[in-house]
Amino acid sequence: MSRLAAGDAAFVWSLIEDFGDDLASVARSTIIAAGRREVLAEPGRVEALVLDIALCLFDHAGAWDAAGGALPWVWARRAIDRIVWADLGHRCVELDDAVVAHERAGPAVVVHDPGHAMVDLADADRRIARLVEAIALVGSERDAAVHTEYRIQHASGDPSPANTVADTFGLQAANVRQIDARMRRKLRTLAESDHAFAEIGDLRWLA
Amino acid sequence: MNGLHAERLLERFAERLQQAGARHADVAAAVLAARGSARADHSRYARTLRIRVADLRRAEAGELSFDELPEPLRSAIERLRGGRPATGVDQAERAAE
Repeated sequence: MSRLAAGDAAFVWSLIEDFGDDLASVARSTIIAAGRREVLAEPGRVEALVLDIALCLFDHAGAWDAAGGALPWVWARRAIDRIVWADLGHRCVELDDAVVAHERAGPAVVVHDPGHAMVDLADADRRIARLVEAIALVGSERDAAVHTEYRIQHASGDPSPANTVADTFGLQAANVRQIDARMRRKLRTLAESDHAFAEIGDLRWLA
Repeated sequence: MNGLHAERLLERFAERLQQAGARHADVAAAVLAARGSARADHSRYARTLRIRVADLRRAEAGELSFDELPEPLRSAIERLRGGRPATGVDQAERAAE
């Protein structure tokens, strides 16, 4: 690690030769914890992660303290997890166009923010359209975006949605959780006080 | 690294170096790996191979193609790759094809 800290990239390879199996174990455990065991069968996927993890340790080597007692990959576990999650992405299922076309028979709806990630869903479901409208109504543009991203990450199985969203928006994870809690509180109040938004009151989104 | 595939690791290393702007990233990755495997800094490794430090640094920076490498470095890469002869065709050349 001291040679890595000196900025010599050749020692990334030394690290892999000496501790590659340990780095691979860390990558595998994060993959399994994310419920993506099938990724382990893809040729080269773990090797790619091992190299990326080694480069991550190279980047952070200067801050590692040998006297602290933790192995580098334990010490840098959160950064490593982020690398693995970024590589994994979210599990996707291809849409069946025929089914989607059939389901999209409802009326078009107006949403406040056309760039919003939920526009397509809002187009197909009136309650989601109302939810999108309510989110835009109760929070600032940034809070609405943070809240929406957090709820989507949370529902998609991201094991650490606050960290993911914090990285995206340049915030602390604690801020993300606070913004989300505040937004849900405001949405519940709106659903209870304004008849026009009553139908979103029982959505799990607000739970 | 018993359970890992060295050639795939090298490919990934080369990918990352290419993203960082290395022209001959395959060569740079292999040279860095060869030196890393020897646990040697630039001057010691250059002395061991009897090559100039400047050439070693240029190779690691991706400035030299396989054919432009000093012969001892070419041999070192071939040894790293388990004795198989290196093709001498790196990513920059493949991309140009």
